[in-house]
Amino acid sequence: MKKLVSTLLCVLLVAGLLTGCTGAPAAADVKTEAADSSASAGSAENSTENAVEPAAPDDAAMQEKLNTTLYIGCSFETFDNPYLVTFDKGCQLFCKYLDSIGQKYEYTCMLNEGNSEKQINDINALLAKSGGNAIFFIDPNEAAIVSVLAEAVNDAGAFMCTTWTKPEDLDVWDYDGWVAHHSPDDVTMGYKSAIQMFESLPTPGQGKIVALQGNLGHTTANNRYLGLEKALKEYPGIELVAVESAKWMAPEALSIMETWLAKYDDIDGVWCANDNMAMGAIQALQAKGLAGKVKVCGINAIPTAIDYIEDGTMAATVDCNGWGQGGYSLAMCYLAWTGQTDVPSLPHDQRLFATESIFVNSSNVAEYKATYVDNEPTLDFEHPYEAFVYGPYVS
Amino acid sequence: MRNRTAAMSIAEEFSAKVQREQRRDKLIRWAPVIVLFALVTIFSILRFDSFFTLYNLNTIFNQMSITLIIAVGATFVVLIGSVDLTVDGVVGLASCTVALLILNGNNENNFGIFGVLIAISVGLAFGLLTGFIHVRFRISSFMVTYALGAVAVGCGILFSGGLWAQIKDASLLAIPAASFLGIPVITWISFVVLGIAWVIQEKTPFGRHMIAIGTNEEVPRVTGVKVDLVKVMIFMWSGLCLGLAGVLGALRLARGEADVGTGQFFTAYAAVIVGGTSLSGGRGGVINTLIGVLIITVLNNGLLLMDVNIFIRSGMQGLIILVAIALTIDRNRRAICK
Repeated sequence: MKKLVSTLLCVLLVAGLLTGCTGAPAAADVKTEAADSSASAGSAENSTENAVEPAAPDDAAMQEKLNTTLYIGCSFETFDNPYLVTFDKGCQLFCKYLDSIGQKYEYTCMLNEGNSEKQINDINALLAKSGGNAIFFIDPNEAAIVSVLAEAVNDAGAFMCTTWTKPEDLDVWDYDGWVAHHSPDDVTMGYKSAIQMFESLPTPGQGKIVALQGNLGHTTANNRYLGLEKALKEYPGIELVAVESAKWMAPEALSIMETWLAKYDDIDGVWCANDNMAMGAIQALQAKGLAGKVKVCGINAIPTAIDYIEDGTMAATVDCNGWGQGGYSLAMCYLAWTGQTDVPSLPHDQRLFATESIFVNSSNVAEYKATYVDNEPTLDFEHPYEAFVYGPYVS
Repeated sequence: MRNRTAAMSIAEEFSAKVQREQRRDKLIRWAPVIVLFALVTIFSILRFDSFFTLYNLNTIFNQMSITLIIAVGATFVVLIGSVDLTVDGVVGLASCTVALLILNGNNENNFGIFGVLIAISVGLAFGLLTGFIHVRFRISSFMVTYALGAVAVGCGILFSGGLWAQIKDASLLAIPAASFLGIPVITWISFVVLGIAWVIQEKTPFGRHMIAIGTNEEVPRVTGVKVDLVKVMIFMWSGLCLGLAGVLGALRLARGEADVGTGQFFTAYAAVIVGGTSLSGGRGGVINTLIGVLIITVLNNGLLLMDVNIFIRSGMQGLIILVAIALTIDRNRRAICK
C-alpha cells in the first residue's frame, strides 16, 4: 500500500514538473524586443485634448523617492483567463521601466480567485507593510468593495487605479488616493465585433447568426450584448435566430453550438461575447466541416483567436488592452506618488475615462500579432495620460 | 373501510405492507426508464425535425460520453455513501496536463500517448491521495475532496499560467472526430468504462464489498473485509475516471483548460442520483447511472432545441434531482433527518 502511495505521488510530482516547468512562458521568458510604436496601445491621436502633462520633479525629492522602496500591488481575480494574465504582464512591463530609471520597488501580483474578502485583506497587508509607499492596480471583484478599498488606500496615503467595476454613485474625486477609474467600452466592443462579422459574411450584411452570451446579469455581458443589438438594428439583413448564455466557457459553448447545429443548417455567423466561447463554437463547427464557412467573432484577442483570424476561421476579435490597463494604471499612480501630478487638481475626465480597445480582423492581424503576441508592446510610461485616456467613461 | 381494516389479521396486514413496499420499490426502479422514455417521446413530438435526427443522436452521444465516464466513477463513491468533490478540479487538471504534455501551442513537449497516460495517472494519484487521507486520518470524504479539488484547480491554472494550451497532435485530435458503427469513438470509450464498472460491481467480491460497506460499514468490517482498502480503491477508480474524462474533454475541445471540469460535478452527480442510486449508499449501480446520464443529456439537449433558457434548464435539473432523492432515500434507515 505504501509503495503504491509513493509511486502515484511520484507520478503527480513528475507530471507537475513536466507540465509546470515547460508550460506557458514565464514573464521572464517573454521577448523584450522593441515593437513598432505605431501599433502600441492607445496612440497619442486618441488621447483627449486636456491630457495631463506631469510636472518636472525636483531632483533631490525625486532622488529620495528613487531610494525609497515602493510597494506595487496588482490585484485581480485569477490567471484562469488569458486576458487577465496581461494585467500582470503590463504591470511587469512597468516594473522594467522602474528598473530603467533606478527606482527601488517590490512587486506583488495578488490573485483572489473571486474571494472579495481576500482581495481586501491582501491590499491591506501590503498597505501595512509599505507605510503608505504603495501603488495599486486593482480590478475589483465586485462594486460593493470599491469604497472599502478606496478608503483603505486613501487613509494609508497610497495611490490606486481601478478598472471595470465601480459603483455608479461612488465618485473617484472624493478620494485623493484614488487616482483614476477606467474601463473599455463594452457596448462598442460588442457592436464593432458584430459589424466586422456581418461584413465578412459571404453576402456582406445578409445572413442568419446565433449569439453566445456571457453570464446573464453580468454588466459586461449585458453591455456587449447591447452592442450586438445596436449592430442588428443597423443591419436589417441579419437575422438573429438563437441566443444562449454559455457562461463565458468554451465547453458550454461547444455543447450549445453542437445542439444548435442539429436545429439550424443555414447559420452564417456566430457572435460570441468572448474568445473562450468562440473556441468552443469553432470546435463544434469543425466537427461538422463548417469552420471557416460560418464566420465567428469574439472578444479578448487570446493567442488562439489571433491564429484563427489569420487562417480565416474567425472574422474578428477585440483586445481590451490588458497590458495598458495594468501598466498605465501603475504609471499614473507613480506620477502621483512622486508628486509629479497633484491628484485633487486633475480634471475629472482624466480620473474617470474610457480606454481604447484594439479591433483585430484579417486586415490588421499581422501587425497586431507582431506587436502584442510575438513581442511585448511599447508603452509610454512617462506620458500615461496622453497614451491611455481615450474618451468619456461609459458605465 | 375502518371495519374492514380492523378485521384484517396481523399476517394480512404484514403481507399488504410488504406488497406496498414492493410496488414502491418497483416504481423507483423503473421510474428513471419511464422518465427517459417520456422525455424522448415529448421532444420527438415537439421537435421532430431537429431532435429525432441522426446528427442529433450523435450530438447526444458526444455530449453524454464525458459525463458518463465521470458518473460511472462517482457511482462507486456514492454506493459507499461518500462523495467526491474533486470532480471539477481533477478533470480540469487532467485536461491542462494532457494539453501541455502532448504536441501543443504553449511549449515543445510531444509525449504523445505517454502524455495521455501521465494525465490519467494524475487523476489516479489524486484519487489515491483522497482515499488515503480519508481512511488514514478519518476525515470525511466531503472535506478531503473539497480541499483537494481546490488544490487540483490551482495546479491546473499554475501549469498553464492562464494561457490555455491549444492541442496540435493530429493523431490524438482524430479521436473525438472518429466514429465506429456510426457511434463516436469517445462514446465507445465511455461504454467500455461502463462495462468494466458493471463487471466489477456485479461479478467480483469487490463489488459485493462495496454494496455491503454502503449498507452498513460495520458488518463487512467484522467479517474480515478490508473496508479501508476498498474505500481507497474506490476513490482511485473515481480518480482514474476523472483523469480519463479530463483527457477526452481536452481532446474534444482541442485545448486544455480548467473550465473543462467546471460544472461536471453537478451534472455527473445529478445523473447518478436521477438514475436511482441512493445518496445514502448501498443501493443502485452503474446501469442506473447510464439511464441517469441519458436523462440529463436528453433533457438539456431537448430543452435547448426548444429554446429554453440555460438557467431554466439548470433549475429543472435541480428539481429533478430533488424528486429523485425524495424517491430513493430510505427514511427507515435514518435515525434523524436534519
